[in-house]
Order: sequence, then structure tokens, then C-alpha cells
Amino acid sequence: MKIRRLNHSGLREFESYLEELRTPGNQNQPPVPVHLLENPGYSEELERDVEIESQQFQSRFDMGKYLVEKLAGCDQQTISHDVGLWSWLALFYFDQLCPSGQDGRKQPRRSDNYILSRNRNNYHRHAIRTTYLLVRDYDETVHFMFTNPLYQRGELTEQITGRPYFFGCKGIIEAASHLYYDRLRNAPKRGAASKDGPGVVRRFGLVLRQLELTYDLFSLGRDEILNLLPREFDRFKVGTEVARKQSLFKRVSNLLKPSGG
Amino acid sequence: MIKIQRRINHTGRKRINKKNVDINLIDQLGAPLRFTGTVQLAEIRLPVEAPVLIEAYQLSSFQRFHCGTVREFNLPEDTTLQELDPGNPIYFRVKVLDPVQKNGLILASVSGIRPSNEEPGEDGRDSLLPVGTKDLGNVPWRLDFNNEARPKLLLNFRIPGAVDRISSDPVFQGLVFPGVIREILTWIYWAEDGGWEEENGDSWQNLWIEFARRVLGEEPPETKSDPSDVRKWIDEVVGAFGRKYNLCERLVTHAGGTGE
Repeated sequence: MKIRRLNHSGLREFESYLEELRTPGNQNQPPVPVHLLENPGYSEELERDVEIESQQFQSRFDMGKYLVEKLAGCDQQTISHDVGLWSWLALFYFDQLCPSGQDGRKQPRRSDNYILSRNRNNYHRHAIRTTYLLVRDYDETVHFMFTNPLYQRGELTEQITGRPYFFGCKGIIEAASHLYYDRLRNAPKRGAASKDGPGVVRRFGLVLRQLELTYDLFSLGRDEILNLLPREFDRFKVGTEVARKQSLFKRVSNLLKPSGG
Repeated sequence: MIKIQRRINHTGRKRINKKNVDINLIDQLGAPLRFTGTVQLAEIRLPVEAPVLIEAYQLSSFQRFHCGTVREFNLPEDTTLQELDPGNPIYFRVKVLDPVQKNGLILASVSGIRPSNEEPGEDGRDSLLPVGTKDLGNVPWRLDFNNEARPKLLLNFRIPGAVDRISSDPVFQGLVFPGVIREILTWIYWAEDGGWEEENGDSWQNLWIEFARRVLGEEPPETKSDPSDVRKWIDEVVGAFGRKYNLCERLVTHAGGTGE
């Protein structure tokens, strides 16, 4: 199918659909209004043809990579603010962004997760656009944020994209990737997304907010930011003395464990 | 765990007085909003080669601009604010960075700067459309034309907070502005009988024609053009203005509709 953009009527229909899904006691939820995708009354062609397939993505990162390749030929400044385009893509992948629960019902998040807000202050909430922009700009460096399926926003994403000031800063993204991405498991490090505890991603956001009063974080690279972080983050640092000790301790502990059987 | 207090200033960061920062928003009429401004740093002792940055920001959006050094403050050529929402208040912060260590240390800063001219027309200073109130009987608004001065939008004085509303209320704006633009352009083409073309470029007629040209991005028809062409052009200008400021959508949203 060719990517299109929802027009005003299409956006209104999509919004109505989301509202209907949220209606309490609505036993028969309507089907996803996929007819909006190609109906000229609800959507219009892009300036250039971009073919897109309805495929199942393992993670938001995979979706981001796919769309970065597909949209490479588009004017990036223009599509960045194209409400109809991002909303069309969210409708196209809606079953993955908002799958039915065990009771067969869909429970959508705020509409601006799917329909790009007119208010640019809420742009970052859009599930597809934010993933796309970060993957486009940082590629593998942001893999750690988007290992989850499309319907899960995740604590890491929440903490880092919740402050768009941070996600425009290369040093911060690289520092976060260094701290929280377990490359061997291709997943966030264990404990990184905990609600509390020293050095967790939530603390990372809080500490950065303090540091930005004193430092222009955009002027700093990954290592300079890592060096500014207090010791509580050492446990997540790769190759630090603390991390090495912890790793050694873990290996020795495993060796000393009685073998099973 | 030791909590870091926001007000601790352990690096001796200096405060730039807000009165020394003058930022003005420029509505490019058809183009993204941009700004111009100056920062006076002479009264603070700072290294002359220290870089100066201006950040424009809102709740969740921001843009950065490198503005030379303390000795040579230079705004970049492109100060468009395409990442910010023109419908919401825009704030600015100024940072002066350590030029020696180059470690991003902020030597001086100030945040929360509001553009000096954010509400053009508040005092009629540079406004294309001065606004006032008057007893208009049962008519909500009308335009007051005077060949010497810019047309003035008169709002019925019985409408509570009318002047504030015209600058902030999406319902008010959506219902009034299209009619205002249409009437003024129509006046220029027919009531002025083309005399405005010979006037200097600063005449209110020329300013309005320039405004319309930039909103639409197309040259205006000549004054002796076929009336249907003029009418069509005016329709297009009004449509382009509505699109630029999302007049109808903002109205619908404000009125409790879906707003798309």
C-alpha cells in the first residue's frame, strides 16, 4: 500500500474511533477503520510514492529502522510536522500499537499517541514519530530505548523522550545507551527501568535536570556526561572498576554455587 | 541519599539581568516565526571570548542558536522557530559558556525571557491592525477605515474582555479575522481605486498587500484586474491565513469539538 496522509475528515474519524474504544460498557468495539487509509474522502496521497507493507515488527526499533528506510526520500523538515502522515501510519499499524487484550478489547492510550497533536509540545507522545526521529538521528545508539513491542512505551522511553530537550542532545543519548543497553542481550540492562534505586534511568533524568543548571549539556560528549554523573551510576557503567568488581563477584558467586542434582 | 537542591550555585554562575536581554518575535507572514534580539553583557565580568547561546523553549520543545561571543554577539542568519508552537507562549534563555575549559560549564545565564513584542498591537505600536472598543449597538465588531491611518478593528465595548479575547480567544479569532482580512483587502482594491499603488512602500495599504502576498506566497493582482480575479485572490489569502493559524480547528477544539 502507498503511504498517505489522513485529511481533516480522516483525523476526525480516527479520533471518533478512539473515543468509541474508550466508551465504558461498549461491548462491541468497532473494527479498526482501515477504510480511511485509502479512501480519498479521508486521506490523500503524499507528494511522492512510498510503498509500505503491513508487517509484524518485533520491536519499536525495528519499526523505526523500517520507516527510516521508507521515508528517506521525503523532505524531513516537512514530514516532521505532517499530522496527517504520522496519524495515517499509526492507523496503519494500529493493531500493533493497540492490540486487543485477553478480553478481546482494545484499550487505547491518549489520542496523541496515535494522532499527532496539533500542539508541538505534545509531539513527543506520538508512538511512531518519536521512534522514527530518534532511530533516524541515532540509529543503534537508541536501540536500548525501543526493544519493546510497539504497544509498550516503556520506562526507558518515558524517561528519555519525556524530556525532548534531552533527546536532541547526542551526548545524553550516547551516555544513556552506554549506561543502560545490554548489547549481549540486546535489551535494557537489568534494573535500569526500576522505579527507584541508585543509578536507574529515572534517576538519570533527575540528575541531568540538576546538571543542566550548571552545564550546557549539548556541549558535552558521552564521556564528559558520564564523568559528571555521581557514583550511584557506576554500577551501570561499562568497564568501570565498580562494574568490573560486580561482574567478577557475580562470576565467582556462580562458580561457588553448588551444582544442581 | 543526598538531594541536590536546585538553588545551590556551587560553580559561581552569574545571573544575567533580564533587562539586558531584548528579544523580539518576528511574524514573517507566511513563513515560520523567527526572532531577533540583543544581549548586553557588559555589566558582568565575563571572558570576552566566551560563547553565547540563546535557547527558545516551551514546555517540551526548544531550539538553540549560537550567537557568537561576549565580545561579538551575533545572531545566526536563520532564527526561525520551526520547532516551536506559535500558538503557545515562547520563552528564551541565554547562556554564556566557559571558553577555557570547554566543558560546557555555564558562566552566566538567565531563563524565562519573554519577547518584548509578544503581543503586537497591545499598544498599537507596530500592529497592522490596531484594536479598540466602542459602542457599536448590537454589532459585535466593525472596521474603522481612514485613508491616513491603518484600519482599526473596533470591538463592541459590551463584550467582556473583548481586546484580550481577540488576541487569545480562538473562537473570537476564528470568527472575526477572516472577515477582517476580506474586508480590508476588498477596501484596498475597490474603495482606494488603486491610488495606494503610487504611495510610498510604508503606506498601510502597501503593508496589507505585502502581508497578503506573504501569507499566500503569490503576487497580488493589479488594481485594474478583472474583479473576479481579485475576488478569487482575496478568497485564497483568507484561506491561507486560516490554514496558517489553524483558525477553524482551534475554534472547534476550544468550543469543545474534536478539533482533529
